Amino acid sequence: MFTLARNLVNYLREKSEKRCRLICVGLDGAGKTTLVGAASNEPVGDTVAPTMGFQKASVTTGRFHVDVYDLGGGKRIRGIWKEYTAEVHGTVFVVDAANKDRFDEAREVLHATLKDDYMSGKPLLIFANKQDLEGAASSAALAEALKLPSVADVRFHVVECSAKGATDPNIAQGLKWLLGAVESDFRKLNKRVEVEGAAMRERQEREKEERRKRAAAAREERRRQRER
Amino acid sequence: LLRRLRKNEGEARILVLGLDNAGKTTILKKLSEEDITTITPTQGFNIKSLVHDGFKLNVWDIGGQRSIRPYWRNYFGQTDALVYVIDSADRKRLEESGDELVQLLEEDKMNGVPLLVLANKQDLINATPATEIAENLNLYTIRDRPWQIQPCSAKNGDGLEDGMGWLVKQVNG
Ligand SMILES: Nc1nc2c(ncn2[C@@H]2O[C@H](COP(=O)(O)OP(=O)(O)OP(=O)(O)O)[C@@H](O)[C@H]2O)c(=O)[nH]1
Ligand SMILES: Nc1nc2c(ncn2[C@@H]2O[C@H](COP(=O)(O)OP(=O)(O)OP(=O)(O)O)[C@@H](O)[C@H]2O)c(=O)[nH]1
Ligand SMILES: [Mg+2]
Ligand SMILES: [Mg+2]
Repeated sequence: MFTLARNLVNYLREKSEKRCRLICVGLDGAGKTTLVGAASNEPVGDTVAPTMGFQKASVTTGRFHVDVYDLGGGKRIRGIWKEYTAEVHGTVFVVDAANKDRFDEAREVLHATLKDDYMSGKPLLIFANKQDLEGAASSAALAEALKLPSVADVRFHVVECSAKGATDPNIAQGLKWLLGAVESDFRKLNKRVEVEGAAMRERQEREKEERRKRAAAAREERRRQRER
Repeated sequence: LLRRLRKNEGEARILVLGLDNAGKTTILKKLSEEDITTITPTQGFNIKSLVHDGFKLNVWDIGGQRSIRPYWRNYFGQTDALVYVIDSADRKRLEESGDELVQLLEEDKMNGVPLLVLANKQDLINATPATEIAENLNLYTIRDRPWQIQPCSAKNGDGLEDGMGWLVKQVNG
């Protein structure tokens, strides 16, 4: 009887608490690290180093526990994004809305990212960041510049925000939309993330093991050369 | 808990590891503005205190020779961050270096410890670019801690301050 009740409680808890993962990407300097800091209540201040790697932040919104992966956006580090897409439920793409000179580059990078097989069908939230700066593009203008309406089969939403300074409520609003989109399709999306994520980790483990073997072989080879 | 306590005191303990000849000792000497012309392989360890943005880093530089590596584990406890140094010009040993790093990251005591990879010796023309090193070492498989790759040269000092800046942000967060 007690077991039954406990099971029921656990069942309800599992039903009401959900875990998901998001990646936060976009060009270097767009404001990703600043924005993720604001969203997770760990503001980074005004002097933030360019990300040349990975960090993770936790956000709890409603019934969701969310891990947000903040990845470097610089030209040469962007290559790592594809290693994370299999295991995320949705994407946050941040644009410096005041830097119109880089809209073309942002559009190309965004469209290339959306071509990733793991990305298809996953919801996309775009932040038109740096609204505090003069001449920042509106969400409509940015959507136009990124040629979003032409992207088929993607649920997207564009939100204006300012990641720097006092926490902008639009950031939480935007995330709420994204998590709503994830939730509406959660079972399917989560199943897919589990399967594809496991396959990816398996591949990465295999690569690690192969490297270990190569390293041992190279070490052995050098030892032999020294003995000769 | 210990980690927290030290953080509040504005201090952190940093462990610097990497294969022999990677440039660990040279990097630390350069950061403390000492002469870097007469550096010999480290047989045991050196400790240095660096102050960055008013934050004190107690840095442990351990010898990287193969015979010494089994002793690395003696230094794992209570480390706030790991700096892993790579000789970017030594392509032959990149895999060996990556293999040692993988083993380090699997250590329980290193769980969640932020990782700064310094792709050193970028002043040499045959140096592998930092991002290629990141791919080579499969850094992107890391999920349980923040990591950052920083190209640098201990010889001319490029990139060292940027790397330290990232480190302080991590331990001072
Ligand atoms: N004015 C203004 N500046 C911002 C805003 N958001 C970020 N910044 C600044 O833009 C610069 C880059 O911010 P980051 O958060 O480092 O950008 P990032 O997208 O993480 O960059 P990478 O890590 O290189 O990919 C920093 O100087 C921030 O302070 C904003 O909303 N308004
Ligand atoms: N060109 C160049 N040489 C470097 C650089 N950093 C270190 N070196 C040289 O590399 C050699 C090894 O440097 P160390 O600092 O002793 O290396 P280590 O990692 O401390 O080595 P162990 O103590 O044996 O583990 C020395 O001859 C340094 O002068 C660099 O950035 N550029
Ligand atoms: Mg960043
Ligand atoms: Mg040394």
